[in-house]
Amino acid sequence: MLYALGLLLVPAAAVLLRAFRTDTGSFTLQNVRDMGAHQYVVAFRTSITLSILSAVVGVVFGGFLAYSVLSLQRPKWLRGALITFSGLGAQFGGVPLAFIFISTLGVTGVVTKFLNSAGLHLYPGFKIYSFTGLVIVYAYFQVPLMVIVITPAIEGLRVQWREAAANLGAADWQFWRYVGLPVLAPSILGAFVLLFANAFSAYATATALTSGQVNLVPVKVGSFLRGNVAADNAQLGQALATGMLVVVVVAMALYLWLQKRAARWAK
Amino acid sequence: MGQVSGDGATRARPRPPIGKVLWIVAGVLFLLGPLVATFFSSINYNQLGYRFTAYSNIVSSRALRGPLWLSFQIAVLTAALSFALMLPTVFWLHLKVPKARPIIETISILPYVIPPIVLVVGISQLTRGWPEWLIGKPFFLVPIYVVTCLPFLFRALDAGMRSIDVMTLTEAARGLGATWRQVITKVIMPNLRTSILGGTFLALAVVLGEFTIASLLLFKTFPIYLTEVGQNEAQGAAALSLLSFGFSWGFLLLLNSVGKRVGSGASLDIAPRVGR
Repeated sequence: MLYALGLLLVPAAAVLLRAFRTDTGSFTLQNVRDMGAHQYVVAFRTSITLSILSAVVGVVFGGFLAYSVLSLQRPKWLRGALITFSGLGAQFGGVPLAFIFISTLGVTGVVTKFLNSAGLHLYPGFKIYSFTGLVIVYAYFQVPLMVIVITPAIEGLRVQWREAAANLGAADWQFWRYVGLPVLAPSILGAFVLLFANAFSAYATATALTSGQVNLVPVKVGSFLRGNVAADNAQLGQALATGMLVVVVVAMALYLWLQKRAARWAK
Repeated sequence: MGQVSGDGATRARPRPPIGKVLWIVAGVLFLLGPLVATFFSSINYNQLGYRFTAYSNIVSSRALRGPLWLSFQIAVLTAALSFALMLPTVFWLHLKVPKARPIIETISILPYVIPPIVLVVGISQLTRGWPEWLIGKPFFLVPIYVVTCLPFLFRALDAGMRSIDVMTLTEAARGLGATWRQVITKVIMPNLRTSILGGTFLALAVVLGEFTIASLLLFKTFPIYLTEVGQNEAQGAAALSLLSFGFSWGFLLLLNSVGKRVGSGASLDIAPRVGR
């Protein structure tokens, strides 16, 4: 049995090793210094901004959506439908997702044409292959992911707490301000961090949608891998990848910690 | 238990939940709208009217079968290799070393944390100079996908083993003279049928949707092929996008229904990032 564990460990450890192998030993410092070059700083800044924005959209939209559906008792099927669809929607990604949004909001997209006929011209002011477009497209997998992640926390809000608050004369906003949100806070923060990491590591969607027009870290790393950049700079791609890894690992560590805190209220 | 505020007698509802309804309507529009729009553009041949040519072209396309078959094989191999590695490990974890759980759980979550693109960088660095016959074949993807699927399959198996009494089953089997191999193949595996089935669907969903790794390592799997075909005409691209989601979704829905039967609906609590 030990050898089986070893075999499980080897691929996993290899992932880590490989990931850290991108560190090129004694030459690392030079790469890190190169990473300070303007375009890479910009790439990190753009990536992080995009991830934060799309995570905010996902948390707010997904959070309210989940709460609305979960708190309405009437159409029973709605709840199941939302959970199932979110389970699927969170998997959305890559080139098909890009195509779907090009069909919808691209220059000749269905919605674009419809708005045109209504006298509202999206283009050229708006472009689906721009930064804004990416935020919208990323939201398509961020919102469902938020619904999945936050649903257990919302379900954990007990009806009794609400009733107790109401009996003590608390208004709706007071319940949320002093009970609901503080209880949910670790879950919401955790979800935000998870969504951030999720957007930050997305590669295929961004590449397919913008064909490299938006300067993102994963896109840059991808172009290094494809050899579109001078070969003597190959180490730089690895340094960038390591940079990505650091960001994501920090985010996920934060997520796991927040999840532990959130678990305090779940019995 | 039944204290939900539904009867209206104890708690008056002065205002209808307009805000909530608005959020739900917006959500439905945002989540379903693009799919509907894409469906329209897949059947809209401007002057020619509406027709399903794009779909019939795809179904009758011979060129599509090769990549689809390849991806299917890779998925099945991935699932087989994963289970061969992980069944004994998870079994051992439950039986002998429950204390190792935190360590193994942490390891199993690692592939989920590491972005696929970083993984590719690591792999291409590691395999530089390896012989072509080894890294040039699409089946080179199998061990990589084993790692990618690890977090999900680990959870599926772990939940499955938690729902059966591993200890008693094993002691009974051993007491009756079964070898360790027999315990795993004849006792544990049949009891984990649903977990194994679910895990296989998951591997299928992941492999049929995975884009980043395959494209950067220059292998022509099903998703890669889809995007190449899709570039040619708008209707085809739209139809293919819907179909490729359909594929992954089909397997995930199967997984979901299987998961419900075992009572471990938690199988989707960390979402596999298909093809991101």
